[in-house]
Amino acid sequence: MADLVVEPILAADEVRAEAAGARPRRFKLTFWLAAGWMAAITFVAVFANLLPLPPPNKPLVGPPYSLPSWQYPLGTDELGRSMLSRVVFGARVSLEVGVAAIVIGLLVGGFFGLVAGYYRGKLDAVISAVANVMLAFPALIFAAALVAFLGPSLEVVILVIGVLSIAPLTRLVRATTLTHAGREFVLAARMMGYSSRRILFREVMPNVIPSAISFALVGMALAIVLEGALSFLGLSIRPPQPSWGNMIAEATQYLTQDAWLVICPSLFLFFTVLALNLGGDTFRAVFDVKESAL
Amino acid sequence: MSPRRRVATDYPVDDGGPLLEVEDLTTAFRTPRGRLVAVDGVSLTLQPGTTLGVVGESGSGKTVLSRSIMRLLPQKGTETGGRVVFRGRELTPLSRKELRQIWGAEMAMIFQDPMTSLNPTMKLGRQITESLRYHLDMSRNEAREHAVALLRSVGIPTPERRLGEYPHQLSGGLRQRVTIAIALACGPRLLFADEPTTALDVTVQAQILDLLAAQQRERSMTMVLVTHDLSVVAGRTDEIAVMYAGRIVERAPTKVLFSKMKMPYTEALLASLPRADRPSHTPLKVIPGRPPDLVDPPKGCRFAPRCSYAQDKCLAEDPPLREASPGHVYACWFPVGTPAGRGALTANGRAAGAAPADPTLARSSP
Amino acid sequence: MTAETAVSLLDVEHLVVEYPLGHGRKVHAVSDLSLSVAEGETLGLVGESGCGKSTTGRAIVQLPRPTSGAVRFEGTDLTKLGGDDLRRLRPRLQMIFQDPISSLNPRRRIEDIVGDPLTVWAPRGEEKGEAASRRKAKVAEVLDAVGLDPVAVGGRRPHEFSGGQCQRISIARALVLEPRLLICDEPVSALDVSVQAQIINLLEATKARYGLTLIFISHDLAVVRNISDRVAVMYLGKICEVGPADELYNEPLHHYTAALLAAIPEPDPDVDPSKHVALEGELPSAVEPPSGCRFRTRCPRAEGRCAQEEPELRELRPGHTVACHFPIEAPVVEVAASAG
Repeated sequence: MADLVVEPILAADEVRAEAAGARPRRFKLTFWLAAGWMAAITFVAVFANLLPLPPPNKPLVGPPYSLPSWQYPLGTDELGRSMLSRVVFGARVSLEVGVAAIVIGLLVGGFFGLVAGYYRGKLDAVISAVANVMLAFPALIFAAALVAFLGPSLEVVILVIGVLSIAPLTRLVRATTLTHAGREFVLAARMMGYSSRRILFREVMPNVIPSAISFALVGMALAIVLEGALSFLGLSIRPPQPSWGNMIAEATQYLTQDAWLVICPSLFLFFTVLALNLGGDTFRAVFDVKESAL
Repeated sequence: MSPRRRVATDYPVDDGGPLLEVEDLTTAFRTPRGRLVAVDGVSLTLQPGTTLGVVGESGSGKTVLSRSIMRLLPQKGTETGGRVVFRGRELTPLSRKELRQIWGAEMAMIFQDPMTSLNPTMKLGRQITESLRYHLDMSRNEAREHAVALLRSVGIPTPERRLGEYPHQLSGGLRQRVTIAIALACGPRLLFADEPTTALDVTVQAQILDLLAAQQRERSMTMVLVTHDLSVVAGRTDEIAVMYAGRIVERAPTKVLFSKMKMPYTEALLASLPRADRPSHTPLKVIPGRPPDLVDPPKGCRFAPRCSYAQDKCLAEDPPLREASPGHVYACWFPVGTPAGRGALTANGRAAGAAPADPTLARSSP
Repeated sequence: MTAETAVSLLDVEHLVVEYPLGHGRKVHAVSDLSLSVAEGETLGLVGESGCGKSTTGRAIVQLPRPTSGAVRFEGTDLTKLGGDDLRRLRPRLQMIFQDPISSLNPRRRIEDIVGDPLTVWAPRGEEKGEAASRRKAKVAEVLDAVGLDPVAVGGRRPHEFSGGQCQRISIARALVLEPRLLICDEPVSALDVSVQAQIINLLEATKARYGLTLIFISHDLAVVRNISDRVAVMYLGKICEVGPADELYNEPLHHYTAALLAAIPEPDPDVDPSKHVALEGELPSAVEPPSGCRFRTRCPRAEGRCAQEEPELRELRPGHTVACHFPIEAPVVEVAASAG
């Protein structure tokens, strides 16, 4: 009677059973809501030009300060511009910034983090020192300085936020790489005579990617908030081009007249950030469970 | 050392009767895969001053059993059933607050890994005196003196200095001595030792087990030694209970268990142990397969799928616990050493025919 | 067959592994260790935590490289080989580790974990289709050899298996390039008792089937005796005693060996464990090991000489060497009176 593998899951260890009971294996409702929101926002942002919306900067599409109605789904602002259009085009800005920042962060920061965590030694020392300096530099001052130097535009904002996301990702990826590179399967790979490059990219990296992605999702939320702060301070794209941040900034002066002008973009910002955070958390939970299922 | 007690000792039974009675204890966990019954109807009685060994592999339920008896399990997601009576007082309906009076003072536990059972951020002195001050209402100085005496009694050199040290500054063996000192600080009547030496080297293991035995004698304490290692319990217990898949499958006084065992599992476990006193390359008889899934255990005897004595009856019907002699119970349809058992073995031997193809199951002597 | 007459597959000479701690202090993990492993034998390397046995195993495979010493494998000194030359030799020396689950990459499938070495080391001229089918066949062969069904197991990932099964997969992976030497670093310590016996039997069977030489590192004396032909006992970075397994266990010459053996609990209720005198004291620090004989601080037989002069390994019986000034029994035969 050979000892064949019949069922995947073995007799559950008692202590593990307790832990397993606390963590859901399947995606919860909140995850689907978050995913749905992000999908909707992404869709409208991408296809903004094709949607039957009035141009976001065209004044007097309807009477100013209109409340949401069938005709103007999100109402109009102080100049009679369609809030819905402005929010949709603002979403485009936020998402562009968010995604670009994350991509820059993952590619550059992730690469250096991997290399630092795997090769250690002097290379690690140099990379970590640079990352620490970047982290220590106050973000807002860096952003303000660059914008002052290069002028406010979407490209500059993307550059700024992208650069700012490199260091945290380097740190995270380095830490995760250290953990995995210390495991015995890496030693076994060295024993097989695999080249360092192969080990780094085919053995270690696949293990690092899940936590990098979940961190990146949360980072995306931060990037969007940062853009909001920058445009609130007038350091991002200038009005009349809408971005959630500058919409909030401009509308604060009309707070007493029509609070909706502030609340609307704020809500969109809030839900988007929340959705990204939930997504990052759930992503991590799913991958964590799989790995520690032993 | 007769410590003052803060808790009123209102125990109905204090002499003559058993120290601990466990009746039909069941513990189940709610897991995503279903209801996992880790302890399935365990009953046992413990007389004061004796040592019980609980032996089993991972998944047998031995750790959950000791924690269930002490009622140390998390409340969320856990269902418990059955009764636990300690010194005549039923523990099952007690609140956490009432249980806290008992934990440490009446019943204590030491765990496998001293690094994780000691608080790494707290000095050792404080960890020991904490318990003394809570249960015995000692002043800080009294507690400190008591702590030094305790550390000395468990064989720790320069105890005064140790009070100011952190766990990571001590070796594994010394750390385990400290956890023993903490557990024994308030003079509990019952000590659960849950795999106390598994993480330690063999020479340290011997020291720790000797220490536990000495403390037990000195304090007339009752001890439950939970381990996967049959060798450890062989010389140091009065009675042994063998657990498999959440149940006690055999229980007997130690000498009786080793000489007149009835469960094929016990026999197989013993036969699969490599022995330092047997020649090199002695073939090891192996138990094929793996322990069952406790969410969906097999019908009939839970060990049957792996048992070399198993017959059709075993796969269909669950054998009840029967008494072989006073104090010796087992649950098997074709026990070891009986005509029924021998017949079952021969029948299986004939059916198996050729030697097993699996290289892990047997090997020939060189 | 004694060590001298058989062909030596591995010769370790004066191996030293030290880790700097800063301020001029070092951890002396392994100090001047020499041993030989004959082809086809199983050498057990036993000792308690901190004795340096795992470090020795890693130093032999140069991961990381030892501080000094020579490791001659099939006649070639591994310590002198450069990166690429060493890599090319690696398939001939393999290792299996203590933690079965962390030995396997959680993100890869079993058939890749076991089969990749074949792809990486495929001979250059081989045609793709042929290489793939050769790989598939070899993976099936080794998985079968360790008692796993290649079809059922191949597409799964490590977290779907138990500790014992993962260890089998590790063994399969180690076998796939047909190594000469297999170093087993505590391979059964993390497994359940009933699974241990399965893996021990499996190692013996695969050793016979593939003609391997084994170095079995463990702290479990019973397991080591069961699987080894010869056993070496280590204490605080040095070898105390080496000899044929049965002889070493029945008649130990070194006091530490005797203390270890006395401490082993036996599954026999008639043996009273308190009768054996337990070894006193604690392990000295590896940063400042005792002068002379390192075991002298806990040895019942220690004298002045032991603190001043470090004992050399002397052969007191055929094939049985010990490093002690006052070994346990008077030697039956003084084999090499000129040694030392």
